[in-house]
Amino acid sequence: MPLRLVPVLEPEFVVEADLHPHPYMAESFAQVGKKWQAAYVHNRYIFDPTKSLSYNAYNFVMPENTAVFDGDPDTAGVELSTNSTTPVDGGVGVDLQTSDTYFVILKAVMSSPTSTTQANLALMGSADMTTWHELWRGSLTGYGPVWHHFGLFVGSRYRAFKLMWWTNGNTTRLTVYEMSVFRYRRAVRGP
Amino acid sequence: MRQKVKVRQLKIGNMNYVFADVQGLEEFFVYGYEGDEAEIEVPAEAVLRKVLREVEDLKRRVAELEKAVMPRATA
Repeated sequence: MPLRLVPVLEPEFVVEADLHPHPYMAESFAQVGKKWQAAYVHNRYIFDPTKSLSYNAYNFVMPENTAVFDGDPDTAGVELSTNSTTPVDGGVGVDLQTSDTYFVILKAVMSSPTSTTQANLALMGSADMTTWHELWRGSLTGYGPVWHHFGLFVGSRYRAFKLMWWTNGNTTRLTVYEMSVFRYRRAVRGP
Repeated sequence: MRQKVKVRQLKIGNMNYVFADVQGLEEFFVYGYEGDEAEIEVPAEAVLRKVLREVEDLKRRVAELEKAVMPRATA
């Protein structure tokens, strides 16, 4: 009897059943209107930020920075500035309470008034809110602006995500527009 | 492009942080951690952007060298 994949259900993300949930970046990623569009293993998926698990979630790093979870990829969060050479919080953090396999989407921009700037932005994941692992890093070299815009599948061990950033000592600015976290679900095979 | 790198551990306050000990990459994600190593992957787009930037730098360098050589060649 032939197998079929059920249609994509929002907010859960359905992909082919046999894919192992290793970390994986979407092959291409874009904002289309107020939604995200990701290509993954020859399929294209539309994600609605207002249906993510992080929609209107509590930002435990900077509670007043609510725009990053408001479901609108065009609203800018609080603009941060740092010249720290050691990693500091990037104003965004969400705790989903349970470890699972998630798909994290980020839209952020970094810039600097100095041409010799080297700055880094990292997505961190934690299973216990105490030990944090770096999961992704994007950098800025020079003035920028550099837009960071990606979708990343994250392995099953993490329950919380936050951003951290640091520079080579030059002042750098960071604005996060939206971070969306979806639960990854393997496809259910039909009869 | 996947590669293994060492990890860098930091303790800030009562938090422990584990970073991939990597410098100079425009973008990467961590495929997994094992002991004191992290396996990272550089997205193809990031590699392409890096190569294109190097090509542009080389073009600029060639133009500068041509400019420096031409007056002598035509003298």
